[in-house]
Amino acid sequence: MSAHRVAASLPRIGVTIGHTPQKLKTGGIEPSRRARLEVLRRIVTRTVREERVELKWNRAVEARPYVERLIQLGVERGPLDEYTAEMMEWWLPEKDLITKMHEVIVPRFQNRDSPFTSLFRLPPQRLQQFIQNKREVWKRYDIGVLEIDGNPFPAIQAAHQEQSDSILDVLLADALRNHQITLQEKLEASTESK
Amino acid sequence: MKVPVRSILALRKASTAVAAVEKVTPVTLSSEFFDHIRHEVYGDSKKVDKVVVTVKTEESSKPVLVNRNVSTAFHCLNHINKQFADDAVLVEVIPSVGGSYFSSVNQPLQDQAEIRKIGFDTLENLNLVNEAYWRSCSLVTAAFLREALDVDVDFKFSDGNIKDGFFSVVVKGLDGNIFTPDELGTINRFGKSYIREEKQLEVISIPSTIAEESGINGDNLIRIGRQVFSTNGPVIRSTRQIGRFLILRSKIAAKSEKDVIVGGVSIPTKQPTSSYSWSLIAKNANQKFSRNL
Repeated sequence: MSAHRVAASLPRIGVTIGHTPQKLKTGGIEPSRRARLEVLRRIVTRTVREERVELKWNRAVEARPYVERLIQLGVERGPLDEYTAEMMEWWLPEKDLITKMHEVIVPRFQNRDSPFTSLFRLPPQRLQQFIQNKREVWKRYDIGVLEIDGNPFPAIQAAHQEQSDSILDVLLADALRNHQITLQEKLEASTESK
Repeated sequence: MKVPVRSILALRKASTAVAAVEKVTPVTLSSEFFDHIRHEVYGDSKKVDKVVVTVKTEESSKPVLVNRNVSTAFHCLNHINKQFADDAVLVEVIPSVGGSYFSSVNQPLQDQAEIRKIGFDTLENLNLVNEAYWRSCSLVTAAFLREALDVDVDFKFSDGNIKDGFFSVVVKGLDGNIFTPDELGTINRFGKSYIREEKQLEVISIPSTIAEESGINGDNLIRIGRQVFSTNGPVIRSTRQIGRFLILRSKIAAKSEKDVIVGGVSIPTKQPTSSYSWSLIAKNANQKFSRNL
């Protein structure tokens, strides 16, 4: 079955797809259209193996739909489907990852809607590029964390605590509440006097 | 710093000499009395028995050999490291026989037990920590007021709640004279220097029989410097754990016109905040204390 027909039979993936394909240059791979896919394949393979990866932001955005689609194929069409098997084989060249995908990751999302992945933005990092004639060249990178949901790592975003009972928080919350009420009363009084 | 308050109150004492005769407490809580009670409860400190106390941390348990009735939980926690011990506000004691209880860090351990540190950052038992902190602030206020004032005063401690926004202590013996803003400024300066001295809050847990015999109201006897008070419930380890501290104002007690209530607010050293936030807290506490009767 052709890729177009398969894609049409699947539901939309629940993540944003970038408008402009990124070049995704990497040392060791000659820049070309194929090179972009090679870079993405490395990222997808690494994501499936490690389940949480830290990347440059644009690469994380770019790779996310591919990871989503791969998991979706596993969920919707199963391991026996010819097209799914072909895709798994190409995107996951390490054979143990295909087994992991079908036996560990896909069962996790059987009764769930997409998105199956999460993308978080980390604070930008300034990293040294190279030193040329004693001149240090630094570059600022936006960093993203791409992860497959339900991974065994601690959550990136802390669970929202309802309210802390520490002395400072109790006193400050009360003070702010009363400050707000006082300001409201003053505002109402000034409005009435006008 | 101490002199101006003394002189202010000394002048006041001369002008109200008749009223200052009032004496309230049935038993004089002095430093010598504290030593006497300690001897009575814990026996002779020169006769040392050894017991094994297990310090439980998040990662591991460490057994330590300590002196029975002499060593405190603070000494045991020091075996982990000093910062760990310094951060302790209370400890949960799980004795080998009997049920567990919460105790002050400076309270001597009486038997083989497991102990668990409770700090300001502990999520469990936070209400207990808050109560202990508020109670300790009242006691420290009473301690430095007694040091600062040149009149015989006695204190009554109410069960304050953090949600009230302030702590308070009833001062008996001021004959209804409330502090002027200048006097409050001097008291606050003295109080801050007193807290900075990092005084330990020594604690004795008194059995009910000894408490009845000695006429002590409360199950704990606390010594801060030279000042001794009785109270119910555990207290913090040291005045070092008290961060920002402010005596707000004083007012006449509703029940008796001779008694004066002194109100204050404080936050722990471990919970620092900006000056703006602190000013909001202090303002709110002052308003609530003024409204409260």
